[in-house]
Amino acid sequence: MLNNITLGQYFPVDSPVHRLDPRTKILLTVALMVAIFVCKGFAGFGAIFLFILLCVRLAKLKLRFVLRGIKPIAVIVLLTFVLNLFLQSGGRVLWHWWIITITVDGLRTAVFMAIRLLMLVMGTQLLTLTTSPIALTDGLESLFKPLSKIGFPAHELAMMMSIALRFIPTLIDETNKITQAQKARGADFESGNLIRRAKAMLPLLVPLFVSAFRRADELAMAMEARCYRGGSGRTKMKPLKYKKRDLCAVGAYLAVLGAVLVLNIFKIGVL
Amino acid sequence: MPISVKDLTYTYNPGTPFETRALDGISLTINDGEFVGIIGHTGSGKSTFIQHLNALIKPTSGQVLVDGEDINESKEKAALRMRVGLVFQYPEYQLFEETVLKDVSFGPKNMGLSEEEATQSAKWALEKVGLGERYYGRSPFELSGGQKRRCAVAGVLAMHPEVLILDEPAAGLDPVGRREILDIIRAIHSEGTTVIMVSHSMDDVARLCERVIVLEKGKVALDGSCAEVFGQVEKLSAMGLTLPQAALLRDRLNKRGFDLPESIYTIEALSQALTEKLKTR
Ligand SMILES: Nc1ncnc2c1ncn2[C@@H]1O[C@H](COP(=O)(O)OP(=O)(O)O)[C@@H](O)[C@H]1O
Ligand SMILES: [Mg+2]
Repeated sequence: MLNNITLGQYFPVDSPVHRLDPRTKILLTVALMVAIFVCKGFAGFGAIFLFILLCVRLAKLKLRFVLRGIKPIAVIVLLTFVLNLFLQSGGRVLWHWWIITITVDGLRTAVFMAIRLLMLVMGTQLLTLTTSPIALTDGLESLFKPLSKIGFPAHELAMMMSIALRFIPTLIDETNKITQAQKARGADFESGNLIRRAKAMLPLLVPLFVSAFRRADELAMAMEARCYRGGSGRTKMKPLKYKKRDLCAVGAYLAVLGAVLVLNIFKIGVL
Repeated sequence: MPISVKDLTYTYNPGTPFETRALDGISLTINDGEFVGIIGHTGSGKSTFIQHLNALIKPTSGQVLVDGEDINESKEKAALRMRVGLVFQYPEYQLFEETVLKDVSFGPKNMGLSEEEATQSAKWALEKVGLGERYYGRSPFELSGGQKRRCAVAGVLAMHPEVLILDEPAAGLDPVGRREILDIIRAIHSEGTTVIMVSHSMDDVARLCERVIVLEKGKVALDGSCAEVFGQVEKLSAMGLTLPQAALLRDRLNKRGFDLPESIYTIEALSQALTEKLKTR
């Protein structure tokens, strides 16, 4: 059951997209969102989609991985679609029944909004699929560093995040092991009503908490033993450096943004 | 209750970049009353294999037959898991109840026994592992490492399994703890329970087991009596496995011109053979 949690769904292959600086990827993801919101028509979406396809191709991913992220928000997409379909009015009436009216404008807006949401998800999927959680935290720490002057705990947050990320697979592993062990003692986690099932979780949760606290304790001790004293003056083993390929990525993005703006201005394929 | 495994194959995370073939076409039979040792390098598939024997893992392909029945077809998995008791590696990490007695009765209660019967079973099992009455009311988290381990073993024993499987039962214990747990396992076997023990220690296997199965990269590399397996010095060392101390000494002596039988793998047998050799010189 826990195998389905694709947190840190990082897809570990070596590709130009994977090798981009995490900061570039984070900033470009945000920038891509901006482009998606700026875009006013289907032609612009076409350009953005081509850009995403190109990234998927370069990153040696399959489009299906990027689309997988849509499943959890399918309900939201559907809801947005339906609401826009019925609530937007204007243009030719396509269908009318009782108090429900569907107009051309309504249909167009509904499709537009749905595509916009799908694009947003695909963009962020691209980031998490090609950037390891650790690189992601590194990038975030580096981006938020300037804020530490005004007291924002950038390093501490990044450290907590990377520790949490580091231990999620361990905890999942441990949960699996303890589940198996209690099943071997005849524990039944699947049947019974809600209260019974909640109670059945106890033999799983107690050992899990005990071991999580033990691990936290040991980790703190080990960090102290290696003279960890917070972020000030701390250097990195692999400092982040922008490379030429980051420039190329930004260039490619600017081309797409340009295309979107031109299409907007000349109202090509615009609503 | 013989356990038969036919062409068992198991792959973790199939269809992802993390795909690992942990077991690859294993076929063997474990008969009633045997004491089987399973050895092999880390990652050779020992733990994966034993979890198949009580249907905790469903094979990717192949069959596991207990008493001639395919256990993955059967609906009575919980009942099966009580007949084939499995003690995981570091079982003390699965203790959860407030008291030792309650924790050990968890299994019997899941079997559907009444509170009283479950407690009876638990007391019986605790006695077997040498945790007397004064431990009943203690928290399992207050016990020493060796005691915790024994308490966890009792948790499985309390279900009266016909086959007992243990994954590295002595791992991480001090010498005294090791000896205690191994003596308990030996006693359980001598009362008629079939025992399957995964172990890193060749000496423990040599001392306790009658039959040894060596796994290598998910395949059965060697399977036979201790004498047969520990005689295959080249094969074992090619797999990166050491011999039991006595077999190692026997091998070194033979290289220096002693002519001791390959079947020697215990200290007792070695010292006897050596004394005779030296007498006749
Ligand atoms: N939960 C798991 N998920 C993925 N791979 C696993 C898992 N458990 C074990 N493996 C892999 O399967 C192989 C066999 O592991 P295991 O059965 O634990 O071997 P052993 O007990 O002999 O050390 C190893 O390559 C290991 O990395
Ligand atoms: Mg193992």
